[in-house]
Amino acid sequence: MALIRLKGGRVYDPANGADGQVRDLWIRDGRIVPAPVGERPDRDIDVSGRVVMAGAIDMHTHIGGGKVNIARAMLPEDHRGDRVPRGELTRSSCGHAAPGTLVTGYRYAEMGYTACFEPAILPVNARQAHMEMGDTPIVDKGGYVMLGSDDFLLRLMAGGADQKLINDYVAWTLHAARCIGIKVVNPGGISAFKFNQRRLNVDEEHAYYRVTPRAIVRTLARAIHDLGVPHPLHIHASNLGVPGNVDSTLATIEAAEGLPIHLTHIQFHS
Amino acid sequence: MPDTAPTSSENITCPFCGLACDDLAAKVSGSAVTVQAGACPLAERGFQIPPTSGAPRVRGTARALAEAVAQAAALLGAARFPVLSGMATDLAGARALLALADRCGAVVDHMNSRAKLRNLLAVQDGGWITTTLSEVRNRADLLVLAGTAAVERFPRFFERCVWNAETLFGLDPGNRDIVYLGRGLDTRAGTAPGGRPPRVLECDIARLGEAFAVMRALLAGSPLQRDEAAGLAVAEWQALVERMKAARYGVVVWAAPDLDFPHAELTVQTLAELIKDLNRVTRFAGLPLGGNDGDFTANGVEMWQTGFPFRTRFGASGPDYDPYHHSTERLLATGEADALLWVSSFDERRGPPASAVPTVVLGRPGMRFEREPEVFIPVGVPGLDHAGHFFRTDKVVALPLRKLRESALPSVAEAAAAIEAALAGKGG
Repeated sequence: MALIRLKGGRVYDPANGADGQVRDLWIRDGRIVPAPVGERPDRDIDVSGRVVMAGAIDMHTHIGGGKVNIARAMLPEDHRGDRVPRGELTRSSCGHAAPGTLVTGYRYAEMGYTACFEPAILPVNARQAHMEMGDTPIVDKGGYVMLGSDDFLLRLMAGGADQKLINDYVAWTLHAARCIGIKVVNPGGISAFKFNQRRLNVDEEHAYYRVTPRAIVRTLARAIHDLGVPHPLHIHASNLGVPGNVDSTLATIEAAEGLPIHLTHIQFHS
Repeated sequence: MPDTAPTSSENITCPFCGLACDDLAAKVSGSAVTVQAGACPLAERGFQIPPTSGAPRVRGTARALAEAVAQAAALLGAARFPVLSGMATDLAGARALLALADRCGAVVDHMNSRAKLRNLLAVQDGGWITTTLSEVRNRADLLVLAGTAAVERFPRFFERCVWNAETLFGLDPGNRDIVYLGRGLDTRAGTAPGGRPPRVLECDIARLGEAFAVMRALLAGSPLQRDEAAGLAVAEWQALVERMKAARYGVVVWAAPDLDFPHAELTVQTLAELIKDLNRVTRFAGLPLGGNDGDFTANGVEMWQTGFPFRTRFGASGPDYDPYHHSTERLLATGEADALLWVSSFDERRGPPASAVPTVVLGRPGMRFEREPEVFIPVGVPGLDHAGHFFRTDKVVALPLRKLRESALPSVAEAAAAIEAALAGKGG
């Protein structure tokens, strides 16, 4: 397969101690390899004067799904301030707070990103999320699918279902929604609001299902662990933005009982 | 490959209104499709019209597809202000059409945009709280139908979403309270399975904005200067708003096409604000019914690709959204538009507006024209002639459409991609 040389670039690779080192990089079959002896590259690309670095990964960026499109709908004045015309290789779109998918891909690539992850995919809306990501050019995309306020899970928990059954449901959801991780947002709280319950602290019971956010976090973190899903439970914790919510955040950490979790946008939970 | 023996299929999604019912069953025999379960007048018409043979036409003369595509590309390539409208297509069709529109600098509009703007302008200005069909089905204890009977455009609405057999939370759907606001509405579908008739507040639909404003004022305890609104005594609106406050999960249902009066967006906005007010004490949501002719599908794709909805022009400085100027009707009437590409793949009765500008039509076979278009390319029907995706009225759900029969017709996506490739080949 193809042997490629990136010639003379300024390489930044903190993991391997390269700090602006001017050198060649060799790639064979899509992997970086040591410089081969006595072989000519099939493609020789001159990158002298350019930075060569690992592509950045945005592990939590709202790039696809119904809610992003609602945001776009509500911001015509924001789009007008950042209209991007068609180019030789690029299509028209708009940028800024809720960019079109096309500009999203172009700008992430310009900034040196190669992978972006939509962190909140509603299972029933997964098709749309993947379609929007499909219309996001250049960068690789993936997503985390949301559980934790779905009636199916809460009914299982309320009925004392075995963890193995819950694990099967989580696995099925991951597969059906084509996602690589599980996201939980305000555990149980989104469901509670549908029953007109306007607050749900970590140890408070859901008005209908009588399940607590603590139990939801523990149950989903256990499922992720049992299934061997690499990405830990991605948690938007209870009481986002509420003064004093550091207590909810600490309780959420405890709720995982030592299992790995990822606390996202922690600045709103501190 | 086509089987001569008839086959039966189940779990078919119907694309002929925004409800996108996915429980249809049909028998397919050659190109004849007969709906056997889940039928409604729109589905029967949409699935069962006998297919007409469709050859592409250039100036009325039958031509091969490649020739028609080349002529369409030439027509659009020569235009300085093309308009792409109709946009009644599936997701793949919308994607291909937007790429084409971007290449030729077109305005993109939709056949339903005049009605849709009544909702869109309210969303853009202040947002709203809406719900999904599943939530309505499982939670609603009060449904207020504002200015619509729903069933003309969405025939199975009550069957699928209101008078369902059971709910997740032990609520008896038969006890749902149904209230119609309007005059001359067909309220029969609002009768409960047990026979209880709905309540009807006879009032002027065009003045519903007054009623919503009065209800907001009553909720806020503001003094009123009048004792009547929309043709009904304030006391009636007081009783209704009390009933709405007492609901555990109330829903107001409306359909933008039925709010056909000037500045209806202000009425929709007042309703949206009333719903927000009610959410201070209870749970209440709007259910705007739409999505017919794929309008949520096309609009969704345009919005996620460009940021803007329909009535956007792919101009020299980037996408230019102007809901007032970029109306198909206005651009044709003033002579600003110098070419029209009309797309209508679900309903052959929805042809292009009459105009003198050079016109290309991608249409369901059997379409008739006041004036034969310069190019007519008959296309397949999504969900019948080819597979695809369709957004439901609550927008959260995009359903897969299936190919039910063999067809020689290109899809909108194929035809649009061919036209764009022809344009690109010319360096256009």
